Amino acid sequence: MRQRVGALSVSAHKSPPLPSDPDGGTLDIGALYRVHDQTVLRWATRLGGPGIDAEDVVQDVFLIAKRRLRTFDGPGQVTTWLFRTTEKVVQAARRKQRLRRWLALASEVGPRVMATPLAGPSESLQRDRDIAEVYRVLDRLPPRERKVMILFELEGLSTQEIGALTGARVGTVRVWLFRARARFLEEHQQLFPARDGGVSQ
Amino acid sequence: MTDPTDRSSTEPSRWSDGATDGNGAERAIGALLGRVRQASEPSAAAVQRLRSLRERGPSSSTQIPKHRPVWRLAVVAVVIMATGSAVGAALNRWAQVDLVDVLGLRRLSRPDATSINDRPRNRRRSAGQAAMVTPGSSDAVAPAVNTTGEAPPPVAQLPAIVDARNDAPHPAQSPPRERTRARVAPAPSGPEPAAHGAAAPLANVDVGPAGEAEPLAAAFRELRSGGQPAAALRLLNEYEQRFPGGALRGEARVARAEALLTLGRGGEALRVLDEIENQGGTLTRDLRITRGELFAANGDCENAVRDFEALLGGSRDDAVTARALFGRASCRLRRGEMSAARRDLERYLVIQPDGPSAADARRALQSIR
Repeated sequence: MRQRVGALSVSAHKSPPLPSDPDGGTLDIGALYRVHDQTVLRWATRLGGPGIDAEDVVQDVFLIAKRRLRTFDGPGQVTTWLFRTTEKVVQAARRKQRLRRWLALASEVGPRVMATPLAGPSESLQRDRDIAEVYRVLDRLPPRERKVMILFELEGLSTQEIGALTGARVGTVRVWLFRARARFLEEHQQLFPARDGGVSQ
Repeated sequence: MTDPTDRSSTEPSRWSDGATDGNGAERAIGALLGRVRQASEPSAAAVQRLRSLRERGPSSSTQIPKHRPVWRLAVVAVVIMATGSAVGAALNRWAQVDLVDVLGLRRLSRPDATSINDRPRNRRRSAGQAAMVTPGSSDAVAPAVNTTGEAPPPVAQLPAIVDARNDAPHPAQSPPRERTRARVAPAPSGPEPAAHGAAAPLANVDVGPAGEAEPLAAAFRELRSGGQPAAALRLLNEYEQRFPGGALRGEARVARAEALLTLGRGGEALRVLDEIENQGGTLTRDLRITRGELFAANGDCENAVRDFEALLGGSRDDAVTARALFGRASCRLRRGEMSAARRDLERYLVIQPDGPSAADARRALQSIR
């Protein structure tokens, strides 16, 4: 929500008002950060996948938010705006990562893994393998299907929530999800045909 | 999988929750996704790091040094430069391969076909050597310059273009050739005779058999180095008797035209130049301006103006354009088209204010006014 001010007020103040939070108070960047940092970190971690420095992405997202907060004029919620910013920052980071891989400056999976510390080295190894396997398939999906698959299956959002974040209707999101799953199965089968049942156990 | 287009359907089941009614592959992928979902939950350490940054405020994060080594940019720049130079070298090499030679086609079958020795790079290398003209190049001028600088350009021997008025421009002297580069003749192997020390080493035969190139190269030596156009004509006659359909007949015709011009036999030279075009060759700018001037000298202003106008179609302001303007002005004066002639002469003076015919052009302009 945005505070509306008249022309006189705008001319009196050099910049338009900041977005306000649902309680009606003016929302500054500190408030945004406090409320949404973990959410943005989760989005960045899952949308970026292994090899992307999610904390860097979070910092970049809030730097952009700080710079553009004054121009935020909806019509969606702040979370939608933050999600779209996160998505763009992640896309840029992935492009950079692809370039680095192409220049052989980075390994296939980056040094910064995205997971919670687990008990032992074997579990840690298995976890890294699982993540690498899933993201290898996800990276072969079209961007929209990749995003929906991540938000639904990994992030655990409902189709309504995905629709709200992406600005798409629920039916549309379900169609994307349907296609994404079919494509995921197909690509997984192509990439890992020898696995028992197509999946590492 | 449920039908996504069914609006009445409830929320799709989540594979990563293990809720799938599909086959074993779907269940296994669901289990995999569930593990990844769990594993990709941001770590407590990451959350803690973010919170510590939050304590300092997001603005301070701008001071966090980011790892952006300059050498990566340097690597990208080097890659781009290396790729560019490799592509450029390949293109340059490719451009030097004469497809006509490779395919064994005749030279005149493609007007701009030139041998590898005629490429600009090699021409530079060959400057100062004896020249040989081929019909397919801008340098292939019948009245070509003698690199020894001994003989005047044959164009200078053209009869003056006669004006209808007594004080009209009289281009008795064509513009001196500015070009000093020359072509290297296809030549027989073996060392150059001492008598022709300035001539090109004639080992660079790239078209036709060496036996065919030899008499032609000798003709060019006589013409260019020896200053013996009559001897060159005899050798050219021999060449044409021996090789009536030879691969180098285009070069032979150009040499013949040059020899005839040197001997002052402009009418015959004009016929030879006409032959070149009639038999599939294309006249270069230099050959065309020569032919136009010969037409004008013979009083055939219609054909002369056609050649001049073909040369004036572009936007180049070079010596050939100046000659064409002067020639067309002469023809227009003959026809009594004074204002058009004045425009041509004025433009001629703009291009070559100190040109060889500048004085004539100024006199003609004064008389027109």
